[in-house]
Amino acid sequence: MGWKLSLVIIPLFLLAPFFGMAASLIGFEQKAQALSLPILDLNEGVNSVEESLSALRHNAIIMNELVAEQEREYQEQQQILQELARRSQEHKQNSDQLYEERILAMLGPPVESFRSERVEIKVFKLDELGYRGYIAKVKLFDPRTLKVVLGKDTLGQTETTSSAVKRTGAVLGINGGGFYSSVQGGRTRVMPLGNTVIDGKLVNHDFSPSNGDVFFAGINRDGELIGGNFYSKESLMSLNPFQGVSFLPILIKDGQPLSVPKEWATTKQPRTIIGEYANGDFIMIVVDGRQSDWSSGVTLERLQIKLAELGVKEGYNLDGGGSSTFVFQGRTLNRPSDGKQRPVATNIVIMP
Amino acid sequence: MTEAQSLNNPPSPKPRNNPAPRPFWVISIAVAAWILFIIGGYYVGKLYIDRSIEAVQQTNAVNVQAMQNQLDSMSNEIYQIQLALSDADQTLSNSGTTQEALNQKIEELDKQLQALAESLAILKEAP
Repeated sequence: MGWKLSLVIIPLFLLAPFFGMAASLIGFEQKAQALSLPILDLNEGVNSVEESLSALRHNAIIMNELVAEQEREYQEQQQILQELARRSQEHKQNSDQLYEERILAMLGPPVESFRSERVEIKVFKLDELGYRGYIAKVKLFDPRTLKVVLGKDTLGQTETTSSAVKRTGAVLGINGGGFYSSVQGGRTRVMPLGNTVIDGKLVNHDFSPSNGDVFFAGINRDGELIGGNFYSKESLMSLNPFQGVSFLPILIKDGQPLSVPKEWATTKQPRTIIGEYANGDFIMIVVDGRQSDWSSGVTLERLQIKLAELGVKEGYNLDGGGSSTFVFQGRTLNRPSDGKQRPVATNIVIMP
Repeated sequence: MTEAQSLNNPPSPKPRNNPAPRPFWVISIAVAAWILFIIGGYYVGKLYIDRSIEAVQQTNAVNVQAMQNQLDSMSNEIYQIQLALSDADQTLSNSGTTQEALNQKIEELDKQLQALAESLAILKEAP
């Protein structure tokens, strides 16, 4: 009996640790699953991020489309503006051309012309009742083509218009401002009247305020006509004068004729005029006089009317009488009243 | 019985029942069985643990693969967003340039309209 009992007890005793081990392994598989990565817990977060990214992508695409649409609209507007600008340019050209045609219709056919990259000159005959002369319509593409030159390029010296044109190589020349004789140190000097500006500098050194109706007329550095009565150097220099001369009186200002001194208004004389059209073209007129068989001259009142008929916006009377001379391409077209050209203090020339 | 008698009369031998081999064989068999149990238990336990770990590894591998797929998907989304933003940036840049050009055109048109107005004003003064 004891022997049989030992056959049961001894193996149980020996196997006891294994039973313990086996018992400890119960549920190990489930517990081991705890070692697995908690991916499922992250899934929600990842899915949420993915949804957000998807929404972000959708918004980015929409934004892209909106921006592209805006770009298309800009381009369409640009094309419309370009078309408007083109039409505006065409209208301006038509308007300018129409104005030019109207001017030319009043002047008649040109008898001479010259054109370069810097200047365009058209010369017309002036043949009115009782007086004759020549008109030059000058379109400056480069303001530096219009120059005022002193006689022999020296203050106090005189020179004929033909000589000045030849010496400078100019295409066109007319006499300039008034002048007077001055005796200094036993020497007679011919000095320009009022203020003369050459290349932006006063040649008289000291500014001369306008005396009576004496004006200054010339161009600024942009090639625009400037003129008027100036009583201080600052008021003149503020207009940035580039070239200019002085004489009297002003005939037309802003399209309106101004009153002229009585002694100038009604006497017929040879005249030299410089003026400007509304489009910026210059007009230079020389009228012959004192020659009954050719031209008896013109009064300033009559000239004012003529300038208004021609559509001139501003007009200034330059030195006239025997000084009035019109030279084009080396030829003196008018007939100076002295029978020959008078040497003058200043000439206005147009370079080619 | 005296000592002498006992010496002279040796005890009669007891009948031998031969019990010695039994404990030896029992113990030997028990030890062998015990060793076999140890070895068997080791293998069974190892197999069980290995299978459990393998199951965890497989689960992890599947989850990691799923996560990898999701990350790839997110990476693709981000790339698409990057492309869309890049396109938008380029288009915005173009739009900026176009707007500048547009402003220039407006200024040009304004100048041309002013020039046209001046030209028409001049035309009014025509003879």
